Amino acid sequence: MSYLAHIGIIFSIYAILAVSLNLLVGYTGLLSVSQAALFGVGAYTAAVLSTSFGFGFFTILFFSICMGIIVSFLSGLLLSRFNGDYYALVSVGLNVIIINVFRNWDSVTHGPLGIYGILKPNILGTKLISNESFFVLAIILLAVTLLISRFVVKSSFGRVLKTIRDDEQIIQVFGYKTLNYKLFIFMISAAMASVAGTLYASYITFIEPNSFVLLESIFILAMVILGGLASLRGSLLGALVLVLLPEALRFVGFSPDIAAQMRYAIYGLFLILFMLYRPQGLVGGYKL
Amino acid sequence: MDIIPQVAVNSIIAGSIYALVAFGFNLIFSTTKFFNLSHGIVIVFGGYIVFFLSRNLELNLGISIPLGIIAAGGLGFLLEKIIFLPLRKKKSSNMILLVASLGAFAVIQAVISILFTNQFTSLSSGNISKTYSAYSAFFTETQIFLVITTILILVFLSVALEKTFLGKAYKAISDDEEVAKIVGINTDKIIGYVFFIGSALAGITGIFMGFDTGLEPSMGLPLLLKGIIASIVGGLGNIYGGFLGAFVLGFAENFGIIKISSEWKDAIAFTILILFLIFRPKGIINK
Amino acid sequence: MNTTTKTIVWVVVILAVIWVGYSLIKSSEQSSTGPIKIGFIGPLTGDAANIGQSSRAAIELATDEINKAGGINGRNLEVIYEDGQCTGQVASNAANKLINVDKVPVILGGLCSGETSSFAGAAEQAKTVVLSYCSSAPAITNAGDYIFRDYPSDLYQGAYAADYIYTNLGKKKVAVLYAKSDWGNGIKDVFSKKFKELGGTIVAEEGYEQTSRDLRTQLTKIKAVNPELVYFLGYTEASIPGIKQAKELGLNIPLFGGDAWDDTKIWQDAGTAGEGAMYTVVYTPLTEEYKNKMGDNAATVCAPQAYDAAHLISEVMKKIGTKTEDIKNELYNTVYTQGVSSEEIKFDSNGDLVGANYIIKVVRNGKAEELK
Repeated sequence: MSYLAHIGIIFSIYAILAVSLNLLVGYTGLLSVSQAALFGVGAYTAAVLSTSFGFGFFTILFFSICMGIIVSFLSGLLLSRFNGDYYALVSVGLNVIIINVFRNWDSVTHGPLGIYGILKPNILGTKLISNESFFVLAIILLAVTLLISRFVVKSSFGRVLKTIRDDEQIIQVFGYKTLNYKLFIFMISAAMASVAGTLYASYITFIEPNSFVLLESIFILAMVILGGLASLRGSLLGALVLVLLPEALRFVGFSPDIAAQMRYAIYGLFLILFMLYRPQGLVGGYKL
Repeated sequence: MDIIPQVAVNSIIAGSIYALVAFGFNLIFSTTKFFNLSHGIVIVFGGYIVFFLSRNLELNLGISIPLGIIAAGGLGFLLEKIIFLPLRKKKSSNMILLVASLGAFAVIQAVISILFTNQFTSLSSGNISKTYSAYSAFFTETQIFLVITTILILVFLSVALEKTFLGKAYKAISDDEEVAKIVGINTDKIIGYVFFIGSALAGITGIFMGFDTGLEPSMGLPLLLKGIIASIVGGLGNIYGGFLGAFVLGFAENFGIIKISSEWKDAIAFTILILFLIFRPKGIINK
Repeated sequence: MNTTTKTIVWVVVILAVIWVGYSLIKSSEQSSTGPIKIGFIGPLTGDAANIGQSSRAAIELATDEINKAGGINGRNLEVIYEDGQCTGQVASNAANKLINVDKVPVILGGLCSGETSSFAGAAEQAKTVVLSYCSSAPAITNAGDYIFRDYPSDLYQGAYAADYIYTNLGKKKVAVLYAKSDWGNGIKDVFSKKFKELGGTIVAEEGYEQTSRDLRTQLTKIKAVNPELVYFLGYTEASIPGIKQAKELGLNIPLFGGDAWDDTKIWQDAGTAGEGAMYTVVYTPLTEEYKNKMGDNAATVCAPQAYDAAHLISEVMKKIGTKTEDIKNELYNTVYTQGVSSEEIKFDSNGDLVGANYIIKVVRNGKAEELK
């Protein structure tokens, strides 16, 4: 039971990340490869606040969302000027720079040593120690994220995003300042990633820079593409498959060294096959 | 300051490596117009083939190295034929090609890790290269070869571009693939050759890295990123641009950390990238 | 989406759920008969894998001996080996599995300090006993009530090295090159403090990412300030190129390292560049019997401690049972004298090993030997 809850928690965290990234890639057409870094910003904010001040969970969540919004606002000002593969490239750069900050800002982040001893969530006085109770928290936050995403996607704001994805120049002709839209959705996406980060930090109770490197961003992207672009259901599906896969592989009995590499081989293979034969993903509505 | 000659030498070495990566990357980019991220793992592949041939099969280096270079070229050629060409025929967008190349990167890196383990290893195990010094800067024999090779390749490429049919066809395709087809150039075949040559150059890079620092399956991505930065700084798709950008990057990185802590090296590289993308996206050599 | 897609999707989901469910049935709770399972975490691949594999071999040897002698009150000891890869993230996942799936009462590990730090918190909250056979970072002292180690804290090692370098080697101006990690930072801090107290000067302190393999930048800066010796705190993977690069850059001063240098792979690969390098390592008396059975791996750093940890834990479990709270309390009272890593293994109130003896090894012709 405890193990199922563990899987459920990991799934919820990645599902939030996949959904947040899909808003950028699937609905707005921005190939962002820095979601893991934003995930990290949320996680580190939560970690620092937890270990230095011992705040309650929702206080920490609030601040970590704020931090995510600030970081995404500043970097978004830069990023939103680009599109297509240049956007991807600059977002790679963003990921690298943020990781560098995690690794070198020793006084706050403890550098490569990471931060440990993060407290499990403290909600109005009760501490969520068991996996099962944490899972409930995680699922609730996932549900909230989904609702907000659905709202965004179905709104007129969401329609503008899709037009930007399909033909940015047309909509600029009509007087829409696309830069502002791209910036705003980036901030929403980052806020959600911060939620995932806070959950992650409070659950694993230990974080370090390596959890948020470029390869992780690629992993999240793979989930989105696999499940299907521009489909919230797709992101859930993609997260489910890619989270279950390593767990399943673990039990197949590959020696531990090989199992980890087999994961990456399979992700890579999925990416290639999907690009060749089904670029819209399993249930997606849009091809890259 | 006594440290300057050594830093200059370090810059030249770094610049040469980045230039080698950039050559291949630019060749492929100018003909296919997409960011081929699998280029990074071809670098590693070349190094490991030589490792396998010389260490496990105990073949002479004189045979292992050429075979390694050809194998790398072959890998790139293969990827083009089974992944990128079919995608281009379907008129897939650049982003699809980029993601596919990412997938190829991940798969090949995983396979190399499984076959050779993640352990760091070196092509020059147990020996250090002969060292020379000039003006209180030290460098090794391998590094001298590296710099000379880079320059030779630059010369070779520029001659080939002007004088050979392949070179002219390449230029035609980079200018406009449709027109090149109309004039009768078999673009698929030529692009195949370009992939082979570009990937062979990547293989050479990996082999040098193997001798100079060492080999590790995960070394491909950082090298590739630096090569891409060099290309963008110098001028994407331009051989001379890549060469120039590589040295600009090498010098900026190494001189930059005299004052700043060495850990910020990568941040310097990406800051330069972002600055260029904002202010001069076509690179130094504006084409 | 059309019906075919829907069917595919559902099939995939159902298969996935079945697979996970089946795997869960396979891994059941620890029963009260059958083998007693404990966990192991150490780098079986990646950085320091050589050391990790030796420790594994030592524990396998101990397990074999224990089971041949009747096991733990008739039940065999079984160790579940998990790869920590000397990184926090991997080790913390491995620990999660051992604690939540295999439900082991004891984890022998991690090896690298970064591994142990990453899961100590989780183990403490889950009340799983952790006995590290190699982690030396000073920060682990306060990791928790359930966290123990039979390997000394680097508080001793850093001070010992500072003293030896200043007093015995007579070097007063030293540069420090260190891997940014729990281990590297830990020793570096202790060393710098003691060295300055003795009257020495630290002319440069250059850190590098644990994953770096090109240390030429740091070495260039170190060379520029003319130190008399470089205190180089690196694991295997970075030390090999680092040592070679130091020589290639013309840095011909002595190199002095920490216990991670007690890995034969480094000196084999570094070749002539490693000649004359020195390092501190914990003194382990060893026994003839142990040396014969282990062969070449006998003296590799951490293996003796790993061997002793396995024996020690099984002695405790024989006496007290497998309830973790009992094991924890008993460990604080244990005095183990049949070890090969030390005359006496005893834990202080923090779970740290009491006492530490270090020796200096020097590298000659690609092999490390004790400096007499």
